[in-house]
Amino acid sequence: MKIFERPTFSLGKRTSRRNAILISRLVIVLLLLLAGNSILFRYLINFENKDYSWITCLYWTVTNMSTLGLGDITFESDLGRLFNIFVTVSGLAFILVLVPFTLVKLFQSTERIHRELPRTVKDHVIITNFDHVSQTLIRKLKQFKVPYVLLIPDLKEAAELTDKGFNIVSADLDDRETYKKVQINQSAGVVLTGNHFVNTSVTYAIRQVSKEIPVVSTADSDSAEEVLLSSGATNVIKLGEMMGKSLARRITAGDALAHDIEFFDNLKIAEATVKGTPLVNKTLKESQLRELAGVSVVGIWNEGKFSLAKADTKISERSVLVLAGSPEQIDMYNEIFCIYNVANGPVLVIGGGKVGRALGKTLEEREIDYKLIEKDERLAVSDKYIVGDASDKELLLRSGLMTSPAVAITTEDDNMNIFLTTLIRKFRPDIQIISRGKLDRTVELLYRAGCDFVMSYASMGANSIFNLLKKGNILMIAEGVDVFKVDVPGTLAGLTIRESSVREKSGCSIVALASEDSIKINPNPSTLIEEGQSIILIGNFDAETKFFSEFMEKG
Amino acid sequence: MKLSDLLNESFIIPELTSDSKEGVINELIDLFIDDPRVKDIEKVRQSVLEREKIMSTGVGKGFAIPHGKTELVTEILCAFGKSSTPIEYQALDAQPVYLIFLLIGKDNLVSLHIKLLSRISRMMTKDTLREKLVAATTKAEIMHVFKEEEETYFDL
Repeated sequence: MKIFERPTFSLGKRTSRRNAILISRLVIVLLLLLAGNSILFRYLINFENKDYSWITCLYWTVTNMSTLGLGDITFESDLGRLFNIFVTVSGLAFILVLVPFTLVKLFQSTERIHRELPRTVKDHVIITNFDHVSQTLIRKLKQFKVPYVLLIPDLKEAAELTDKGFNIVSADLDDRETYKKVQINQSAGVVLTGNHFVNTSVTYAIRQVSKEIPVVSTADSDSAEEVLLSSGATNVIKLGEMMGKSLARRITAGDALAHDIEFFDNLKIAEATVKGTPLVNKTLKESQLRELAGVSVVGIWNEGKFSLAKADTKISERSVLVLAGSPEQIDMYNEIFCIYNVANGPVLVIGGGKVGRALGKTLEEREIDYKLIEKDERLAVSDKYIVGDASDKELLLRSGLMTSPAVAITTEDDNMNIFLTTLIRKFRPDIQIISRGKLDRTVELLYRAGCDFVMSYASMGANSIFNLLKKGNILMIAEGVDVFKVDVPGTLAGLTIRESSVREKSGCSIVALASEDSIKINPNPSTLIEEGQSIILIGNFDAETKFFSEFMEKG
Repeated sequence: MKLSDLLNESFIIPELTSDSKEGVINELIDLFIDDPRVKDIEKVRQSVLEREKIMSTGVGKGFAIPHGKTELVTEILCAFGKSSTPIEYQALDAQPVYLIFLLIGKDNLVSLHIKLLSRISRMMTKDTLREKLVAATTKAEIMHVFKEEEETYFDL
């Protein structure tokens, strides 16, 4: 199965080639002028019974074309003086007209903006909005060598983004001709991350040109989802709901069940909190999880820091294990551990928006009691709500902070979330804090402030879209940590896992080796990596990037 | 399905006579000796004791959830027993156990088995429920406490 294809085009390369042609033309014109004028000079000066070397001829031409006109060599005849005027004017024309004209062409961005893509382009992803989600998606696409084009209707914005190195085509989003021009029928799909009104119009325009091409759209409500699906979208992602569910899975309360993150074929990736289980204070080796349930611990979260599993890694009360195993092995884990870790007291959810509500609903499904703190009393629709400002410590204490097993912060304001994390951590060093984050730099600050888990719309949305378009190859464990699947590259085929040094060279760990009909979970170091197999790996962003540059690009 | 649908007064022991971990587990399993739903009681016993060897099912807070899973039962079985004398159970909090809930699952109903175990654990961790169970003296009273508690829970 070919998953990642080399890009078949690059707007950046096309622009460089065009620039090179422009500069070459300028140089050729200059050389022709110098050569022509030098030859004519030698010919005409001979009429005045003077003879100069070719170097002197060139010297005369340059000094006159550049308007220096030193006067050490001069014509005496009218014809010669007429020629002198011509040379000076041609020099002026070159310097004052041709050079500036070429420079304008080179640096004027709007001149460089593309209006269409060549017909040879294929398997590219068409993106219709520039925002946090699409920026993260573009980063992922670049990493996995998937070509993309970003459609920007506004010329000024298109120019700015072109200057920043994005692949831009400037065209109207609701015009079906746009999609013909970007070769939609040869693309991998279209991604709509704008507001749902625009997304709906765009979907209709796309469906006039292509009935089959996948259209993945984001939406923020059930009704938007319905409308988008009926207008022709293939998949609709409700980010708020997805975020709420995702955060709810990480809550340490209720029981120690391992919660499924996703499947890779028959490999299940799950996370389990360990508070209250006999695993606390043991090392991974001592836990004997492989012997007891067959599951492999592939990573471990400790107080907001993810690390790859090592035999001597100590499991603490706040640890979260990332497990890999077959569905039966995960069931076995659950059978052993589901009776432990039962915490009293409701979970506190801060923010009663879409994310907070979805989170609460998922907690209800897990039979976990919770309280929702919301500022806006119009949103407080049930007795689960406590109306007030969560940054008020008295309100937090009244809401049961001191007995709660976990707090989930879901507001849209990163600064507020950092503040709340710090405040809560001050009162409860032992509580689990999970938060939503928006920007990469604030995600870092949230972890530093004491969060155990942070997830952002941008990464979650981008990964989900990527998976829908490329059929499930990245799985986000939390902000900055992915499980991903790649075809075995030439650099690794034929080596054993030990010989491959994947972990040492990249920091990624091999979770499983999959062939068409079987999957080997947590293979031992002497296992041979064969051509035609897929490797499933886990690693943080840096490790993932290193893996791609070390093994995939060289391969 | 709810736990209170699976439990009935015949499988409740208001005062366990044994004072050892293995003794109380056997006492509860013996309730099913002549039960037609059990094909081989010794295999059932073995499955529970083997699970116990992996890790103690003494969860802490004075209760334990011994359990096992086997093909040799035709239905999911459960039993409950309480003791007024402390039972040394090697529980997680190193405290003795007073309340014991036994669950025997079927091999082919793994998901339901996990949900039931999880439900038992969640209910028993409630201080108020444990206090009510300690205060109940008859089978009927114990049964009533479970039914009342489970009213607010979903069907599994």
